[in-house]
Amino acid sequence: MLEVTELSKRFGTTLALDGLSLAVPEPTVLGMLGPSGCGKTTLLRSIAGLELPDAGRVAWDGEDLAGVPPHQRGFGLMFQDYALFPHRDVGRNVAFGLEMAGQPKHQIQRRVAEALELVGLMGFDRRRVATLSGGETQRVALARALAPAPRLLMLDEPLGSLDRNLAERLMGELKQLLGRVGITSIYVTHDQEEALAVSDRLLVMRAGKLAQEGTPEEVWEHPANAWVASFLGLTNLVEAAVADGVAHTPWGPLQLGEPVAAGTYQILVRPEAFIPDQGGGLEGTVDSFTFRGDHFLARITPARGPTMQARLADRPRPGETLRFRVDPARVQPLAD
Amino acid sequence: MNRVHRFANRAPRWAAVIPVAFLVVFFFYPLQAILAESLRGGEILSRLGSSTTWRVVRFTFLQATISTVATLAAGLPLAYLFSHYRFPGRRLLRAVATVPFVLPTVVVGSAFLALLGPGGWLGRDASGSLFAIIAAHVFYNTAVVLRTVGTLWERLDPQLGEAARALGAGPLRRTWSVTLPLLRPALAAAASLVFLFSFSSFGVILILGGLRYATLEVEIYRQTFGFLDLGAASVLALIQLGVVAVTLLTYVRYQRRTATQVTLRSPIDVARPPDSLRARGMVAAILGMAGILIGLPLAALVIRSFQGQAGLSLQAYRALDDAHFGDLATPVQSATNSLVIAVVATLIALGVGIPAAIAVAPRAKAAELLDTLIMLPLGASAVTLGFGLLLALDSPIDLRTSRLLVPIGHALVAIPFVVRLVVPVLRSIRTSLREAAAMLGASPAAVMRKVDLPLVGRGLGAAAGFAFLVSMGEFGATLFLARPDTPTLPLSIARLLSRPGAFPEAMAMGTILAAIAASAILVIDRVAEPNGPSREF
Repeated sequence: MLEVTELSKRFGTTLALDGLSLAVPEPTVLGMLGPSGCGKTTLLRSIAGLELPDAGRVAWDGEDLAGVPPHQRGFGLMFQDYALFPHRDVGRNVAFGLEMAGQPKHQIQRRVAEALELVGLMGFDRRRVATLSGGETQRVALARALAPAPRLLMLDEPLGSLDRNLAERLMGELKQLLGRVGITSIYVTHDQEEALAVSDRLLVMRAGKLAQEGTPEEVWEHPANAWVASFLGLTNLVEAAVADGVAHTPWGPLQLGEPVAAGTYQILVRPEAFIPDQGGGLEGTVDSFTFRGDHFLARITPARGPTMQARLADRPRPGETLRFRVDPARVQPLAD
Repeated sequence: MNRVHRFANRAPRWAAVIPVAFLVVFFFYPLQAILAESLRGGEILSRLGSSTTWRVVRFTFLQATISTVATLAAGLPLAYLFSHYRFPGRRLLRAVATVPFVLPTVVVGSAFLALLGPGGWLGRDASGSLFAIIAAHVFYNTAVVLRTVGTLWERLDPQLGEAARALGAGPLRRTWSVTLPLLRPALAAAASLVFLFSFSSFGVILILGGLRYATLEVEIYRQTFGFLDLGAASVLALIQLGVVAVTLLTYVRYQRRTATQVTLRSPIDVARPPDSLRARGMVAAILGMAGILIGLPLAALVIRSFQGQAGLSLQAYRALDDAHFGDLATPVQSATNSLVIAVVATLIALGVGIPAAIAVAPRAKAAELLDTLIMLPLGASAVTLGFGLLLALDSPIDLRTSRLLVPIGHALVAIPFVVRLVVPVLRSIRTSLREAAAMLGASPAAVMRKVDLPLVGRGLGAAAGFAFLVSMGEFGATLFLARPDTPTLPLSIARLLSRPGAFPEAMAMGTILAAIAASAILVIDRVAEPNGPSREF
């Protein structure tokens, strides 16, 4: 089990890690989500031993790794740029870790074949790295990181340099594969969809600190604060005074689902809270909308207050005026 | 935060000093000497007004233009063949087809003399004709078309042609309005290069041109050594430089476009085995033509080196050890000279070229300028380089009798190749590669052994091999710089060719030099990156 305690690292004037602590139980896929520059990569590199933290401790099963160089930590790291060796073919890239471990030739051969089969690249052994497509390169990098069976696998933006379509297809495969291998892994990304899709547990990072930790469902359903909510793409956020279970928002008074103490809160109204209803108290004009497969996401300009996003079951017409009622269960008061 | 990025953007300043200093002393200072010499006493005006000058300029243009058209005509079918069809021996044949380009010009001249000259296979003496010159240039430059156009052609998306077919375009129409426009940048680049090489051709024309035909280069040589008229030679060298500059600019412009415009796909799976009878016939026809074009001259060279007075014999090779032929050095001695010079030239080229590559590798504005600067000697012809060094290096210190002069001249020609081979290697070593190795369990020593050394080593090996090859075959500059008592192999071959009765010996030495060059390039090709500079020129 990996334990990180009070880790800090400063680059010049930037505090990349600010007393960060976390624990990764095995076997699990820990997603680490945050905007670029929030310290995710620095955290990975500190765990890997490629970066020396200014303060704090990285430990595995209770053993402090401070003096242990990267090549003796038994961790795998899949680099953002994949870092495949251009002078070795695919097979010998995958074999590298096994060769370093001094495994016998026949065993290396078998393991390389297994690793390539695992990522769906049977028979790619002799291919030159330069001839691989983006998706193939990513798979080879993954096979290479997996082959020596590291006790911890870290993936730094593994889909970051691929185009959207390919990334979305590989997301599912990657999740399935990590589950099948049953390896403890840390998956770093700045893409919320990817993080939600792949993680068993999810950490949200902001400016070198943890902003939230939980299962993807918990984080999605109950963002810890307005920053996390807006980073997840939830944009109906307004400041409002709350009294007697009613939030007095610019859109009008909204009933809350759960009682909270009176005070000022950031109120998150989820897009699905707006339910079209002729008798509803909230009126707004449809600006534009996008079709999302099983629903429409519309931008609505209300009579008062900022524009809002609403999830609609039926195709709206731009310019149309709709009336909504608001589902109290989907109106959430957040801290900050 | 991103260390890789920081590393890649830092240009070590010290690295640029060495190549710049070398170029200033051994390239720009000699160029300035040529300029000064041509301006002295109104030489430039009287020369530019002379009809002899314009006759030479006209012929140089004419032969270069015909050579370019003929080379494209010969090279394009071959480029098509290698980029579209898979057949047994394709890899080897492609490598063999590029061998002529690395052959020393003297060897090319000798081979065509063996084929077309007195007693040649043609049956009558065609040396001293425009045909012989053009044929030799086509032989020499086909590889340029093959590599420049072929590498682009095999990566063109075949769907573009299929799209045109779906829109109702017939084969001719498809070639004319889809394939050719897409290939145009590569075609223009290849044409510029072939024109440049033919325009600057020296050894081939000196050997095959006889007394009737002289290019600017040959005329510079004649004016210098025949008439001792340095002013006239300087004016001709200026004209030469001007034309080369314009051609190079065209080339660079099209190179930029090639890099940005065309949508490419990976070079996998485009080539197919010739499955129809027609396709097979075409493959056979093109291969046959290439065999005649490339194989015949080489065969003539080799076979005639074994033809003594009484049938086939090793006589010519045996004579290499002691025959003086009125010269100051035996062929074996000149081979030894060549080896020593090539080793020294390689060391100089690496000593200047590696720092230059280190300075050029980070992609920055200043690095780009330096890159262009370093490539300049490649554009200036060898004869101009040799002539400039000869003119310039008598003061402040007289280097003209120094044993270092020839290696320095060779290094000037070799440095651009060294830089082109080492830069991509340096660019390919990212910090993340070392870190990836460490994460896979490699100790620092293992990282050095398994990652750094193999990557740098291959590039350096190829660069050293190329520099050595350039030096072994260099003729134009050497002719100006070598002392009479220490000739190099190409120089000896040229002298033997001009001596009656020494023809088989000249052929024997040509064969040896060709074998050295061919095996060197085949090894380099295997060692270097497949998409490295030996493929892109």
